[in-house]
Amino acid sequence: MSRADIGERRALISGIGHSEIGRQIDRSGFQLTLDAILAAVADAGLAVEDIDGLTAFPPGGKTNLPGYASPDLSEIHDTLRLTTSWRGGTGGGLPFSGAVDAVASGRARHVVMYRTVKEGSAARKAGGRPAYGSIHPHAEGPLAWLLPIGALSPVCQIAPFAARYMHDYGITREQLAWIPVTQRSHAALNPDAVYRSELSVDDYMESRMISTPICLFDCDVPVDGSTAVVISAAETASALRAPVHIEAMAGISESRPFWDQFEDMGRVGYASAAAMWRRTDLKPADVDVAQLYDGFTIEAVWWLEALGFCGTGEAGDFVDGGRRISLGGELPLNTWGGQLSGGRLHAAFGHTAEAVRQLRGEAKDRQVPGAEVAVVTCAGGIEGGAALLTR
Amino acid sequence: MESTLGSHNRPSGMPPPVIAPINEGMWRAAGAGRLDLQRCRECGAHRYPPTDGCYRCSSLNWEWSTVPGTGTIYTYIWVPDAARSGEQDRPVLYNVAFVELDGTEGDPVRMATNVLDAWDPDDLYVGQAVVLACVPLGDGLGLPCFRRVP
Amino acid sequence: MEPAEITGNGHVYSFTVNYQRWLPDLEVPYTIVLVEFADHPGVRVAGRLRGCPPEATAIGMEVEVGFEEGPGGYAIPSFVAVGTAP
Repeated sequence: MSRADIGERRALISGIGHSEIGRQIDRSGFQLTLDAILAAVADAGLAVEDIDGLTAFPPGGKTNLPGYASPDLSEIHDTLRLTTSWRGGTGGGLPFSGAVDAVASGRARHVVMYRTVKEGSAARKAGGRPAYGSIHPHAEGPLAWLLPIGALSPVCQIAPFAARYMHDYGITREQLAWIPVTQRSHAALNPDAVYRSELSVDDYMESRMISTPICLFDCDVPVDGSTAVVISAAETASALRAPVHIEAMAGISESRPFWDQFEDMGRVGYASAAAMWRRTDLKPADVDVAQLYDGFTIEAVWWLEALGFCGTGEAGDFVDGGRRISLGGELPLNTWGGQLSGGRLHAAFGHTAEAVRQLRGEAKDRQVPGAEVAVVTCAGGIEGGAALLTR
Repeated sequence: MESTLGSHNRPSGMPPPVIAPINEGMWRAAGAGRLDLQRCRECGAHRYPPTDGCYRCSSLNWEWSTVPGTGTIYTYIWVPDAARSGEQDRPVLYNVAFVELDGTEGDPVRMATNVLDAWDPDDLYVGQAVVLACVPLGDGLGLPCFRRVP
Repeated sequence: MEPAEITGNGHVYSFTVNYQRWLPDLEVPYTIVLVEFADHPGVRVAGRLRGCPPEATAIGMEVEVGFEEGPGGYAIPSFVAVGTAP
């Protein structure tokens, strides 16, 4: 594949920024969004006037889950007084892939993308994580198939994947515990993480079940916070403070796009991973640090195997004891604590920001020395995507 | 026509607005017969419809500000109201007018509204002077509408 | 396309036992199963499992198709472990 065919090589991640992140922040999602955007633009070495593209995740419209929707694109556009040649769009795979295509095609030069959650406050208000259908008590669309049988939250949809995977490959909870346990040790080094106190395997094994086999510490922690990235055209590099390259990127929606119909629930993300590796000469062994999506522990497990860091069914051994996935190990995982401990910033925005920091050498106490190649993944299955970033 | 259909020419069956912190002040002022608009505390710009941020300086710091309640028509349309027209030969029309509000000259505000005492296409023209005439919504809230200045 | 009736029992492809009280009156725990049918390859149906203690649920176990009353008077898929009383 010639370089010209790999459009993402014509794009850079030029800026990352976030608002205050916490379990309950007394500022509106709108205010948090502006904070994150202005931080990301400054981080890129740009001014708001340089921004000519704007998009957000999720793409828009009402949602039936409190605190989930990001502020409206047109209102943010209005308040920042932007003039844009490209708006909206997420593309396939990682949410910023649409923005990457926009700058790679020459449609825009600097695109801001934001993801804002107020799920921490929503959970506090509801006395726990709200159920699907909490805003409008009607089972419409996909909810019509989920609510009547009691699948009231994403965990009920993901848990059967974990159950099938553990059944197919004989993986135990004691093994998988090392993912949340290790990520918690990384969060201790991240002042912006919401959970920083030590988590042991015993703590994990004794924690309450949410929906088997997913326990409390397998679930990401709802927060209030906004994260923003700036995607810039490669030819603007000299104007940017510390851009990071996108070596390869892919998001393949495979199998039927309904969670309960996914063909093989023990193997998720393989098509996206394979498509990503086909766009580069780099190999899994070249990766210095991995920011793998961890809405639930099992999602990071999917990606370890799909990306080829270990074979199918071997993630249990790979993570057991935590050595390989710790800072100092062969593949430090979610060095910011991930969504399990760092906070559910959602849609791989936190993962992307941390990958960028690592490649710039700006990850402070949790810096992987000399990191040159990072992998970032989002979700899995129908919404999944993977990207390889380089210094 | 006015006497049989009432003194307000408004479209029938419109749902009431959803009251939210960003707009409640406006509906409450209209309930008291006033026209209040958001005004940015940083740069003084009025704005409508209600939004969190100032379109001119990006500030999130705003307050309600009372404007005179007079204005001129920038443009308008006429819309047949099927529910009120029934079986009549000539449909009952309501108007949607964009009114440029006095008191916002440095930061012009145009409000989409109904001119309540205009029933026929001849009743409205561009540049026409209008004045606030609020429609009660209940619970002390009102909808800002306008009447023609003779 | 036309509707086809599923006959014959199915087996559990995967399942989860939900313990979280998502709504104030929700009775927990309950089991959600994903069921496949040897006679109807490519079909997988999600439903509740009745007549079986949650901890006895297992991937591969045989279930009968049943229905329970759902919202609006419609029936929703529900399964019963074979060999246990509904």
